Amino acid sequence: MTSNNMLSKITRNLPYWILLMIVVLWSIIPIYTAISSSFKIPREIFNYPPTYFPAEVTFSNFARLFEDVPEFVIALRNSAIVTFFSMVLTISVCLPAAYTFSRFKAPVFRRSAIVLIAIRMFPPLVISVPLFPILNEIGLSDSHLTLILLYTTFQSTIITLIMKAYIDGIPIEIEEAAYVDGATMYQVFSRIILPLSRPVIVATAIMVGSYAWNEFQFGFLFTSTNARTAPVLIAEMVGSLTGVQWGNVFAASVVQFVPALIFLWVIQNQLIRGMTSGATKG
Amino acid sequence: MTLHKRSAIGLALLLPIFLLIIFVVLIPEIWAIVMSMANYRPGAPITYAGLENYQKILGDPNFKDAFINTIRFVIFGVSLQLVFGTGVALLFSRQFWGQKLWIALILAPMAMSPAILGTTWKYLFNSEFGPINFTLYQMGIEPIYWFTQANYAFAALLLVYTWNHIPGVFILVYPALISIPPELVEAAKIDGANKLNLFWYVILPLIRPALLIALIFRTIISLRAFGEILVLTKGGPFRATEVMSIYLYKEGFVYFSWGTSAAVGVVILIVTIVIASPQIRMLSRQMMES
Repeated sequence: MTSNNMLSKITRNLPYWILLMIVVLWSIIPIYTAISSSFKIPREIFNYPPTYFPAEVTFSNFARLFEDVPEFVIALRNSAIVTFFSMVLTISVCLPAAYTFSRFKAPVFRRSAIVLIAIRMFPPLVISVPLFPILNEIGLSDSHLTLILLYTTFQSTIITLIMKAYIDGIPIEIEEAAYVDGATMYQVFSRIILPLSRPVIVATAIMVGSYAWNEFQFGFLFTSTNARTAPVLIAEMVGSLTGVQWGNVFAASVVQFVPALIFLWVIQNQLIRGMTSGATKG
Repeated sequence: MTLHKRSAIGLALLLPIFLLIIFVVLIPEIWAIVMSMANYRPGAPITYAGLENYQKILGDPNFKDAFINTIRFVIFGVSLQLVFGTGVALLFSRQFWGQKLWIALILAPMAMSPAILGTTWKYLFNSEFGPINFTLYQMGIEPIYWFTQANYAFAALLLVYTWNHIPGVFILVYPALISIPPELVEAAKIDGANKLNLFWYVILPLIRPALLIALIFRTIISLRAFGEILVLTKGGPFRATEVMSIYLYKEGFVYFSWGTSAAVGVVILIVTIVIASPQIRMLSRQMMES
């Protein structure tokens, strides 16, 4: 390619590049705001005109966050517990179901899949009202278990469908050969399906994890001091009546969302493929 | 293995997911319908109320406002999400150098908690020291008190909600766009189609299924929007941004009027079922075919 050609290519693409940069910058405004403000001296956060970069980079917000808001560590721990067990439970519930939907062709299984999808459409807020008195009655309000069960249930349908689409792609001949060799169903599942499904297990586990880590509504409605998760605590910090400590808020936000962002970037490709494998065919 | 034994194993494998759905969703859902027809408050005996709760909310001007606000919010919000989400997907259908990095950056809102997006936007919209008012000031616009004036609060909420959910449209439309065979686009260009014609007559029909899914998905999700609204405006000022989900929350969790709160829930449920039914039909068709 001659340099003239290249120049014309660049000028032709320039408007698109400018557009791309605007879109990208626009998309990262809140993330950038939170990160850059978390390294500012609190006084600078309220600077007018606002500064784009911290004039002086400081870690004092992070130090003070853990001093001023000791509950934050507990909230992070709660988030971690709930996230971990939601991932484990979702995978152990959904993988067998996905296997059944993929390999068992009797109409009863197809119909039960549809029932699952239909029930899943129910808005979470609608079940919150009746759950509130029930949970109080059985002593499960403000507990990790409640959040784990809610998160698992509300993710289980989509995760099962994604897993089913993946298992559909595993040739059934491998299983048939194993059966001919005298393998039991359990052996086929644990020695063939489980190892071959590893990519989809990892991807869906991270999807569930990122949902549980970030979920706000159930956490806000059903926890108070014992099982309160990090997003709920951060929202409370902004609702404070005695004046919002924005330095603490931004530091807490950064601690909360950086792991989640790394999660997302790890599964980016699977996410796009998984979400659409069922959706774009119709 | 006999057919019966095989079916039994299949059902056993489905048992855990069904138990969860039944106990966590179905039973509370039925209980919500029961509650909606009862006088139900903490510490008081539960008595049958018939349709009283429904009459109460339907006669409440605040509920009417919440209903209208919900429709406004969903129509404007979903349209904006679809237009911008598709626009961004179209932009990315040209391959850029560093494509994966750019996509990762624009998908970032998906990995963030509505609570944290809400709090950060609250800072950005702050009327005293917020960067948005400063930018407007530089453009010669007087400072706006975003969360004390009804229309501005609604606009700010729409902007934040759209921003948060553009990636949700993008991940549905983008794969559809890049799976369009390039020959089709080339052929249209040879036939002399300009960009607008190309989009309208070639690309749009091909991404229609994906757009339809996005439309239904986004409508269902916008109908249940809660976190961002609670953090950003709490339904205020003076209920200007109070949608049905916030109304439900206030009835049930602030005023402890569980009967009327459950009735609002049933109304939301009915609206959701009406909107979601084409999607359930489509998914079930796919399920039966594959």
